[in-house]
Amino acid sequence: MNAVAERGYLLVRSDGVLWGVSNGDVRRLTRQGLRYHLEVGGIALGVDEVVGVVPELVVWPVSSALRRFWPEKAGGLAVHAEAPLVIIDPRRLPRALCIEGIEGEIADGEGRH
Amino acid sequence: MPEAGAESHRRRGLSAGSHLLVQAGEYVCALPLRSVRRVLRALTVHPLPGATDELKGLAEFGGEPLPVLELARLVNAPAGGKAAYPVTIVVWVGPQDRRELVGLAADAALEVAEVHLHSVVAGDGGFILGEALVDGALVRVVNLEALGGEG
Amino acid sequence: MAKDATDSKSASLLGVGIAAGVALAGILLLLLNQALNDRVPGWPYNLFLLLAGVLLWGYSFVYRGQRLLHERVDESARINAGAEKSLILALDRLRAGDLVNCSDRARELPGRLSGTFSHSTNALDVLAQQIQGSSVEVAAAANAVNEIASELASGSSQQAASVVEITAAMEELARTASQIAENAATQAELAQRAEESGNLGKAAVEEAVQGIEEARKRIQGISSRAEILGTRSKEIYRVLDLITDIAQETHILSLNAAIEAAAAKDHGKRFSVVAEEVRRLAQRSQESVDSVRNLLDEFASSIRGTVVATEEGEKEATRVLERARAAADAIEELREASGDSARVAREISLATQQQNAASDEVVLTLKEVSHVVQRMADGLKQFSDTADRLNQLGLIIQMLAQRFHLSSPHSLKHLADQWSGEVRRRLGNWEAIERLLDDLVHQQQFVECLYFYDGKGGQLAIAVNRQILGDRSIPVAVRSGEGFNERPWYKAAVQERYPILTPRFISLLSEQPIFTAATPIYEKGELAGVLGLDVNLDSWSKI
Repeated sequence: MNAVAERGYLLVRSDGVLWGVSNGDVRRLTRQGLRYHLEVGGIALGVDEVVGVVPELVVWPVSSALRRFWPEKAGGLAVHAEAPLVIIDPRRLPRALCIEGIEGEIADGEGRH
Repeated sequence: MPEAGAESHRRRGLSAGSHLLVQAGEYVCALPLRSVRRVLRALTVHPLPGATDELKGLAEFGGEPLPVLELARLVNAPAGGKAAYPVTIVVWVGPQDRRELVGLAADAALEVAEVHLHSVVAGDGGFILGEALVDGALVRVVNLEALGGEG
Repeated sequence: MAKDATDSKSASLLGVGIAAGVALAGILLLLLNQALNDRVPGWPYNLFLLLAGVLLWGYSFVYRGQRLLHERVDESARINAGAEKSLILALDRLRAGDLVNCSDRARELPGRLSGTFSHSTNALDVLAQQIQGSSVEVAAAANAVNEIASELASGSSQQAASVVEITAAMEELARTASQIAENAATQAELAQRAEESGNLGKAAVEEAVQGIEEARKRIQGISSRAEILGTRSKEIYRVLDLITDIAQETHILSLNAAIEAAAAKDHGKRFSVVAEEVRRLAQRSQESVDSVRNLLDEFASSIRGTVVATEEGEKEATRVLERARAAADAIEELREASGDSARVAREISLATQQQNAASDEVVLTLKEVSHVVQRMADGLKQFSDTADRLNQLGLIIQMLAQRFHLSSPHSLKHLADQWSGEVRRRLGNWEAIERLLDDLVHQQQFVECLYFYDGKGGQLAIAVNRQILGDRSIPVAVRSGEGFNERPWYKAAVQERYPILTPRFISLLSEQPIFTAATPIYEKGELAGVLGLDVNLDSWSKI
């Protein structure tokens, strides 16, 4: 399995799952009440917690065995502090994080550039 | 027709021999020992949103992310009692040239036993290669190769 | 009369003598004058004439007076004869007690005698009426006294009966009191025994309470030791968990060793043997741990059972203790109640004994009262008899007074006389007479029977008082007037020709004592019949 080291990730948590998004893909991070909104690829994502920013992550591609049982698209997998996390692909945002109302656009699997 | 069954397995690229017997629900499953990477006390698993029932989530193994599957779900085993000592078995899945590491969550790791092909009595495809008798007990041999790839 | 004739003759002779003397004196005077040749003066003639005139006047005066005297004497004699007759008749009526006709006769008596007689009869009338009224009052008083005496006698009888009942009740009360006293004594004895039993029971319960307290403490000791054992068991469980953990780790380690040995192929065969040994060791350790765990489970279960049992035992002991204390309290209360009951029973016994004695005294007193009441009843009986006699005496006086015919509505003879006048006006009309008799009977409650009997024709009109006779039928012999002209009242009335009163006799109708007032009725001087009224002696005082 080939891992690629990327630089600068924002780590967020939603529903107990740790997500990582490349700093360069994050346009805006705002607080909305108890939650946070971050704009990635022109789409607002909602998260419960902003864990922090890590300068570097080793990213592994999503294995075929995982894809077989998890239909979501992701930019890869990584580990931070012995906890696995999912790297968000700005072109294929995870439905679980998308805010209601724009979900239909995401359902087509086409992100906004 | 045990010999015919063994030939069939052989044709499907699976060989008989030492297997790791694990408890999955009410089933005892046999995992080819050569595909077993490690037996671990049950790893902490982080569920993934939108995953199927068979996928428990992600765990960390050796600094790498490891998808963990529920073995009992894979073999459609009826739910058994509460696991006394749950384990995660790290196995190689998929074809030999594109094999990947996957964790299988089981209720217990029992022992290493020889599963003789001539004792395979039946197989219904999917993730169960067939059934065999080990010391008079029925075990289900898991087809780990089939777990790899896109299915 | 002879004397009057003599007086008249004497007066005539005197008048003749006087006239002869005057004539002689005149002749002598004339002769003297002739003798003297008329020389006699004139005054002797005048004197003579005067004397003659005086003598003649005197004579005429005396004669007329004598004659008047004679007339008066005659008149007086005639009056005296009438007065005598009237006096005789009046006295005859007076003898018969007929003061009404007596007074009528007395009016024929001369002036003062009539007045005096009338005054006397009136006074007698008033006296008789007063006697009559007094007899009624005496009778009424006697009746009242008799009624009161009867009521008192009745009351005394009831009183005597009540006294008898009270005496019986008091005797029963005394007997009951004796039984109560005996029962109370028995109860007192039982209560005392109960009190003694209560003392024993209290001591026993207190001992039991102490025993239960001791048992509870021991149970608490067992419980705390069991809890300690439980705590130790948990520690053992933790050790077993640790051993299990180690065994599992060892087991997994052995499996991984087997995996590595398998990966090493032929080089790992010996290692795989060791790994298998390790796995078996881990397995035996696990099995031993399981055995120990099973034993420990049983042990812990026993301990838990012990703890539960001790807890239950302690609770039960506490409950038993509470019950025992409650029983002790109850026994104490029972003991006190028994003591109170015994005391009260003794008091009841004493009180009932006193009550018994008092009841005996009351019975004695009541017997004395009974004797007094009996004596009172006897006295009342005598009193009642005296009143009866007084009543009879009043009746006798009344009958004596009724023998007088008084000008009073209460005089039976007067009443019979008045009613006879009414009958006389209806003679010849028997229906009218019967209606009259009915009316009169209804007006006078004391009249038992009123009848008019024509002795010649043998016809009878009769009316009876149903208030006295009730629905008694009139006997045929009475209705037909059979033998009535032989009855004493009829014969006496006819003989007497005035109202009469019979002595007492028994009535043919009521068969009760009566007396009869009867009066004959005359029409044009002939006897038309006799009117009789029977007076019942029970109602005579209503006269």
